[in-house]
Amino acid sequence: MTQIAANPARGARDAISHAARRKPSAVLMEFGLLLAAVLSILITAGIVYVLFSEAVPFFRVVSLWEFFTDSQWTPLFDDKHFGILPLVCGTMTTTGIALIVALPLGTIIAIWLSDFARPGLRETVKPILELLSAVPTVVFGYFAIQFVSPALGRVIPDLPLFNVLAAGVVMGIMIVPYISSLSEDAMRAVPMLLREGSYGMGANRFTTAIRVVFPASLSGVGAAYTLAISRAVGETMIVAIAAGMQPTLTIDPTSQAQTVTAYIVQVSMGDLPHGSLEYQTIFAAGLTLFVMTLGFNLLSVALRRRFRQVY
Amino acid sequence: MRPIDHTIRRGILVDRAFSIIGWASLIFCLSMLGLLLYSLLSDGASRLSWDFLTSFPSRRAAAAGAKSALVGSLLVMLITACTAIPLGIAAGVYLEEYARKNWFTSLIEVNIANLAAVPSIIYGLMALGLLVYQFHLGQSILTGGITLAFLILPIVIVATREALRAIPQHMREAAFALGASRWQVVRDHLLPYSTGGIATGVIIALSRAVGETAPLVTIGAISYIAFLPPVPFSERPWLPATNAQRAVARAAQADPLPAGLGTGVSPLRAGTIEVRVRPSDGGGAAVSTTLAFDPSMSIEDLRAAFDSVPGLAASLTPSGYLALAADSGSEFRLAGDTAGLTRALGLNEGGGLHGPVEWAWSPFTVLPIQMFNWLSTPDEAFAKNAAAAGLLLMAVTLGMNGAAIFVRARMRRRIKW
Repeated sequence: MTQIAANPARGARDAISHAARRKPSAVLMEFGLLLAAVLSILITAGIVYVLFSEAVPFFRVVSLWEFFTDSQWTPLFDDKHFGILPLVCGTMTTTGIALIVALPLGTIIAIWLSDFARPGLRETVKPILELLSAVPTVVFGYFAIQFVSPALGRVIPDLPLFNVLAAGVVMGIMIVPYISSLSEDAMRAVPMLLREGSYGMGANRFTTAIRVVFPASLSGVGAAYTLAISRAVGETMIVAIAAGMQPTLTIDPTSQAQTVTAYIVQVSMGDLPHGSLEYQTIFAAGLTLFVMTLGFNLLSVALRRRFRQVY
Repeated sequence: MRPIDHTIRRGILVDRAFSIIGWASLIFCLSMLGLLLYSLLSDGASRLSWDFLTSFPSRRAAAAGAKSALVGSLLVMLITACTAIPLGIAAGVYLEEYARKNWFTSLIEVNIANLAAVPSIIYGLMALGLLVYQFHLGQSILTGGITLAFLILPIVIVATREALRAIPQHMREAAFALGASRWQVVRDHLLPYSTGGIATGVIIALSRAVGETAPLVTIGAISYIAFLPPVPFSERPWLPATNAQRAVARAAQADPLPAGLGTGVSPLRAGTIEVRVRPSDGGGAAVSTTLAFDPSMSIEDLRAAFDSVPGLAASLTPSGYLALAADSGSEFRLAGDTAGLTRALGLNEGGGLHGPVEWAWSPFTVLPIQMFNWLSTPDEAFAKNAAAAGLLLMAVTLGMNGAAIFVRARMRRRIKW
């Protein structure tokens, strides 16, 4: 304290450092904010905990071998079979059809928006297109079963009302904006220099877009694709409404099929007792779904990170 | 070698062709949106009326309405907004303004990116296992609201971070240079400047939550709700003779009663329950009888005990439900339930006042679930109701997205750094 008098400058510095020292309320505030951020980890932990704690008792009764090799899924019947393959197959078929619709459409629209459309038009079109992904999925389900399926039935004879094709096509339309928006962002991030170089060599717009811009944005486009796949795999209401409720091991798009998600909905609509094996099946199915989407998500994150580092 | 003008002409042709293909793809997608709206309108517009908005669901398609679904959606959204907005903004502020660059922060970041892409039905499974069965929140508005809040939390966090990142660094430095603490900078500068961006993200996140169906189906939201959640501090009616349905226990087929009977949520304990019976004309005092209950009693023992109360008749319905009814000319209520009987059996207590937040524990349905329910009814007449519900949903979600676009556009015009 005596030094304050001896050295006024030092005293002023002390006073400032005292004022700047963090008050307990500020520390508390930061801690509160940290807790909110940590909550996201707790949510993930909660998901993993619930899926495993309910699926482990299930796998004590049903072996993993049976789960992955049995070709029938009939946990709610008297003759019980626990083969997840028909459900996974249903998910893969609907996802496949959705991708056949969405990948070309989404990519073409992305290229067109980034390299062909005028900026004003692009700024108008993008939000309107994104409205497609804002439509509630249950409304898309309505569209699939009330409009698309009957319309397809007029073209394809003997098409049942519930079919994989209608569900897949509508799901594809739903995920177009995911692909087009994210891919377009990636393509716009490609430096103008590359385009100008290409134009300078005498290339036209299309060649530039396909040979220069698209390859340069490939990891970003890849991230968009994987995100779209993971959306399609996890999509629930469209397939629960329009694809039917019959687990069948088939890739025929004109037949009925049940997806992993649709099965969970089917069981949830009924009233199964908590703790029964049938109840646990939805968590085993959920775990399968979680692992499938997690793989795609991590791939997407890795791709996006690489793409950020390029320029 | 081909002449150069030929190559150029070919290039221009290819460009034009692709431009047409691009237009065609875009128009195809937008026409699908148009067709979707058209099919909803052509089926559902005739059902949209004041009666549709103010009627409960019904077994007759023409009389059914979306009242309980609308109220349910509104209340679930209230809980979702109150949970997700503060938590999401707080997490976003922490990650953008406070967090140091270390492994823990990047773990949180990867985790949020991953959560954003977890299928919504997985959130439903998590809520079913954790909120419903571990935390005993029941299949209630509260559970539904929290589930959807978890679901949209990543969207709010990402929107907050992007809005904060758009503020130039020199704004922070100027405030720090004047001696502001970090929290003062956040509170007085960063949050006010980023309000528009955060609001845009919050509106889009909430519009996604309004349309979510799968997670709420998974936690067991009921699709046929013909009552509204209780208004705070309103008086519960006593249970009359003519309305025995209101006192019907949910499920009691097992014998002896297992713990967690009925909804499978509330455990039964040894305890007492008081039955008060009074004349329904309002004159005359209530007669009170106390019944002792222990969890080993069978449903038949329970029926006999209630039946022994003067003025009260107890019976088992063919499907094993316990139904209580007062004798004609009188009404009754249950009170002092230390056995957890009313919750475990879903018995209506009657009488007394509703608590301030009792509505949050009420069973519920929401608009998308009501629509799904009508859509999965084989009767084609219900499809019109589904279309009408779809129109309401589309009006809400598209309206919210329009609002978000509007807010974003205004913000862009106003703010210049």
